[in-house]
Amino acid sequence: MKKKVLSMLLVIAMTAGLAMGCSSGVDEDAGGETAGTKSSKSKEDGYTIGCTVYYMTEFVTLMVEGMQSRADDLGCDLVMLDAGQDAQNQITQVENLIAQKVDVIIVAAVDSDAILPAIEMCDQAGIPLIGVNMLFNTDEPYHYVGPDDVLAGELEMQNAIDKIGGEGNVVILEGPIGQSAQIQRLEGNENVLAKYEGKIEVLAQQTANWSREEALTLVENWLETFSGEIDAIVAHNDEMALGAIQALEAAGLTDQIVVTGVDAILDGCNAISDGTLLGSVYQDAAKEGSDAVQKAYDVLEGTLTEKELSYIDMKWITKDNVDELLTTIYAE
Amino acid sequence: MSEKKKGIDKKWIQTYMLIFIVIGLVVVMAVVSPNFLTTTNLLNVVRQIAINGILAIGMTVVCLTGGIDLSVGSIVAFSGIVTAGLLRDSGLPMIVVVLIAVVVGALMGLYNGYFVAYWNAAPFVVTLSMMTIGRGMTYVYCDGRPISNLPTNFLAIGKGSIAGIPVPTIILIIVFLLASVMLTKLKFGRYIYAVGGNDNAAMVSGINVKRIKMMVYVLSGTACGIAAIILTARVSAGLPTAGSGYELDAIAATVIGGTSLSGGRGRLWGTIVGAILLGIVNNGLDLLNVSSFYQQIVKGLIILGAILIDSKRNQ
Repeated sequence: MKKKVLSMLLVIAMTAGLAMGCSSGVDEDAGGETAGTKSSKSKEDGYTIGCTVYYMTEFVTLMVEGMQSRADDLGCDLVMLDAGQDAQNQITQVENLIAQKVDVIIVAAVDSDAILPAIEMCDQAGIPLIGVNMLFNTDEPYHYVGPDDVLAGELEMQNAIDKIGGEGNVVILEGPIGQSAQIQRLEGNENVLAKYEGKIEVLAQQTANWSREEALTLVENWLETFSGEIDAIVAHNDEMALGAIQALEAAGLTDQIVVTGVDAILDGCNAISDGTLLGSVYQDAAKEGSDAVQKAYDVLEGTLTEKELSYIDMKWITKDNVDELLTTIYAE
Repeated sequence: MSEKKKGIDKKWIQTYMLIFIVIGLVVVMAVVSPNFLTTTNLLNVVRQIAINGILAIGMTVVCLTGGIDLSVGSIVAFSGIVTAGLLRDSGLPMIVVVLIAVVVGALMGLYNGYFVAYWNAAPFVVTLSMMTIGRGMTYVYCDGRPISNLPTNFLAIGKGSIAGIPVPTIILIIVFLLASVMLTKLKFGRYIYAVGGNDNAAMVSGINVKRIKMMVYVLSGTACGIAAIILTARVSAGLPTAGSGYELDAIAATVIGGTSLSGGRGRLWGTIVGAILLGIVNNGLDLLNVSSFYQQIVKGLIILGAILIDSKRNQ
């Protein structure tokens, strides 16, 4: 009986802990403002921006930092939720943001199709919706800030082909099939490949789901299958490019096969610096987040009415300019 | 006599403890978040718990026999992708597609049940195998791409309401009522408890233990098929990644609800209250802008609390 009382107390303590955890969360994020005043917010207090992102990757973390700092500058509150890669959970979070009466919702979609119900929900609630980083799969116009992934795909393929002298065999490591980044980067790859018909052959293209480990295994297998034939490996992100580089290092082929990537993450920049990665495409994550918040603000202020896609500049990073990144955003 | 009375008292405390915790949580939430106790939000919560609630009902039935079903997330994904594929391409009437989805789920459950019951294989391993087979079949079926552009009347299953109550919630209530009747009023339901309590004794008393053990997985698979329909309608697409990790939420609701993983003991309404508890926690932490990293920790602690109560109860 005593033990049972003990365990009961434990649960009560946990519930209390939960409540305390909750309130401290509010304090942190609302900057000391209590939850009660949030609902009765007037325009002078700034807006509340609700946001749900697909998953806290390194990239998204940088993007969120960009959002937060712009929101602070504009005097807005940012409510940040993480859908944990679950499309159904993201719909749930949009419902919760609407119930919370935020002024605007920014979504980095888990899935370009599965986010469509959110558009209708926001319409009905009269809350503007801004897409960031992941396109929505719809023909209707919508507000969006994101990378120009077609250009990214073109840049990485063009540079790889230039490096191998305009002739040879390439393999492509794709992102998860059906994600807008994969579709568009592949489109960019193919735009370039079309110019080299007959000269460049694509030996294989498969997804490694953005994953370093999966790419490592895949490239190991490809090196067996196409022994001595591969001239370049074009990866849709740096993680997969780094997996490919590991496979090449193990096989002692680093000098013979060119690797390109997208994202210019820290590890990718280090690899560029080492010379194992030819180059990568940089999209400014913080600027992307910051621009999305700015767009949300402009929509609320009424200074922006037309729904359109805004693209972030993409920049080709090589050994020559990689230090610009390593000494700024990636500086210790 | 007094012993017996004490036993009843204990039960009462245990029964109400879970409800007290839920009420306590509602009160706390209502105080700290002005948006929690609104009609819209409460309707959100009951809509949001429907999928996990239905899966947890199936899981509870399996756990009552001492089994476990790790494949629910994958069965949801495959049933869901089949639903989306048929809706888009086959031209079959919606009701037929929905029935096929449920049957697909049941058949995948049959695989689990057959090997658990007739090959005496460990449920953990058999359903683990279905978990990866089901996920693989899903990717094969859709070639890794989401299936979208589903008919709008189908989407109403996810977002529609009847008399103000969200359709997913209505489906949950129906599944709950059917399962309750089965467990408490039908012979089959009493056999499930008997098998979980002591399967040798059950066998000696003439119960077809193997059949019961097989059928509970079929029921769990059926629940997955139903949940898959709701999920597909809710996100308006069949997704190969759908449902991953859902087995954990279903097990969590079951355990919080007081069902013993060693079988023979548990109540269905407890599972529903468990699902509600988890739903309120998710919703509440979202409303309060708590990062999902912390949400996972909180969920873990709640499960630990529930299992501690459970293990004390067993002593």
